[in-house]
Amino acid sequence: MIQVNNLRFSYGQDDFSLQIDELSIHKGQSVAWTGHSGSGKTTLLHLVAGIVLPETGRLESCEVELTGLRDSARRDFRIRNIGLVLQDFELFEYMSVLDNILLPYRINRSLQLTSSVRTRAKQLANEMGLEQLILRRPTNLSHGEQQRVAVCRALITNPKMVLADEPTANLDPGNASRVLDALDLYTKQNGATLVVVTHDNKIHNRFDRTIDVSSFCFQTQSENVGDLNDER
Amino acid sequence: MMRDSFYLAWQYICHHRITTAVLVSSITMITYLPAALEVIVDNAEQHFRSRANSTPLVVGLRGSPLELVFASLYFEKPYNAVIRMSQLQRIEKQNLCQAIPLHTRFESRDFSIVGTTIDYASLRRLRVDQGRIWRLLGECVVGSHVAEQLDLRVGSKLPVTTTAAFTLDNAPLRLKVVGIFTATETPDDEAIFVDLKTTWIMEGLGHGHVKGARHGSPEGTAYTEITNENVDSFHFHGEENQFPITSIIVVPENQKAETLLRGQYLSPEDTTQIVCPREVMDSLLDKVFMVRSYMISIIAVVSLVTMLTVSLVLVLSIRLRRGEIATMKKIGCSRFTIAVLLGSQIMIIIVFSVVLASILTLITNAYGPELVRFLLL
Repeated sequence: MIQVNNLRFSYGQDDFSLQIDELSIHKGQSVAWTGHSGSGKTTLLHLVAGIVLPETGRLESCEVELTGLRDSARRDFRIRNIGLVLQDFELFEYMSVLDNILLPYRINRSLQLTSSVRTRAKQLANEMGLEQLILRRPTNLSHGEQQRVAVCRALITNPKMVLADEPTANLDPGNASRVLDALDLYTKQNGATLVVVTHDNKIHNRFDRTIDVSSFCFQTQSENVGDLNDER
Repeated sequence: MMRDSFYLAWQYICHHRITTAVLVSSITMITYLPAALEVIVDNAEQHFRSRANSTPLVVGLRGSPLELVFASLYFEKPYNAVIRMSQLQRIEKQNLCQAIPLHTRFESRDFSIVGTTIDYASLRRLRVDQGRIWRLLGECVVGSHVAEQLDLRVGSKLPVTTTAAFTLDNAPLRLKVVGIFTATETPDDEAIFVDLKTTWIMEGLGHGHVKGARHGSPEGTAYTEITNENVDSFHFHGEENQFPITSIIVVPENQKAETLLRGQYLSPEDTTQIVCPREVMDSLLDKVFMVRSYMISIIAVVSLVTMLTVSLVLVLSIRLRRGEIATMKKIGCSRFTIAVLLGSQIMIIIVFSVVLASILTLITNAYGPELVRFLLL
């Protein structure tokens, strides 16, 4: 499902770089990516999703070689194959919960918004305990509810792979467990691959594998650089 | 895809109602103002020219030609610059034209009373909608707007409220409404028409009382209303050629007659003047057009500044939405869709503004004549 060979990536003049000689994640596996702040966990997630491209090397995701694809093709690939749970939920305050869940179908013509999709969106919301909230704005929801909406948005397209960036950060244990259960259930039912970026050591045992991304990270100068670049 | 983009743009606009309202108001105003100015000026031009073109010449006391024209054509307000009936006779005896005297010194409940002859109704093609034209002293025919505003019907009584029009015994004269003119959308709708002699009674130059009674005796008290029973007792004191009128509408038989008539008023010693309303209105409209040009220049500058401000607001709004755009890109939104999404938002605001401005312009156009009267007369 994910195959990386001899991958090199850096941010221009920045001293940060990722170097991965080989990394394989099989279909249906659930993997936790760990590592200190600035070690490149989010960057690797973006590479696997095709949001950014490596400088060199081979990167295959969902049986598609991403380095050979143009930007528009990668966007189409992403919206059809990958469910992204982004850091800080990144919901749209001017849309209702239902519209946030259906968003992928409104922003890319490779997906068609049909009545069955709407039904599935409501079903997902029900499964996440959001049935009473689908017409509310995200600003009127709790953190846990917002994260569940973000998960619904990631799962609405029936993705082959779910990439979740710190999905349990800032959540109480109950909400964190509910979110992970939902992701786990989906991947098991659909044979999808799950990659979760996390700092939380207590949840490592929920995954098939744990990969420390710090081992792929190289920083040539300041030791504090990692702390200043949390978004990586 | 377009439908979805419009849907998302609509959601954004609905959520940011105040910002949208400010943007729509600004664009509506800069679209509406020049259109409204154009509509009002066009209406003013049409309004002034049509009335002036149907009134070849006007004779009145020497002074402001514009005031004379406005008093004679629009009965703007009580006009006290009087000339004598001898001026009418001076014109009539030449047999070069039709001359219609006007007396517009009085009013009733803020509507001008126009003393004239039946020829005026013929000249203006006024048709009686209800009742009949005036025949006797004290009878009046009112314009359609006057009837509507004062709720007058044939048979109603109308007091003359101008103080100077009180009878010798300080009681207001009462007019009897005998007809209502059909609406013409001209100042005639706003006037009360009486026979010229009725205005002289208002002037106090004539009155009626018990026959044979001496003025000042109880029997000699003047009637405050002219009826079929007392109309024969009404009489005038003094020479008719010295009785006042405010202007004379002159309709020359031909161009030559017009030239001859105009030539007779060239002497600087003459206390009267003859003016061509069309020329007076042309001169006024030249000034109106000049003001319009200035206003269009000012509106253009204001529009430019407003457009720059609106553009700045939109650019800032897009900058504020960078995070949102980045999220969409991460999920898989194409650049084209983002452009369509932002474009849809701008288009909805512009379409709203243009529709709103068009409605306002249509309303302005529908009420154009009333607006012109309100603003300019």
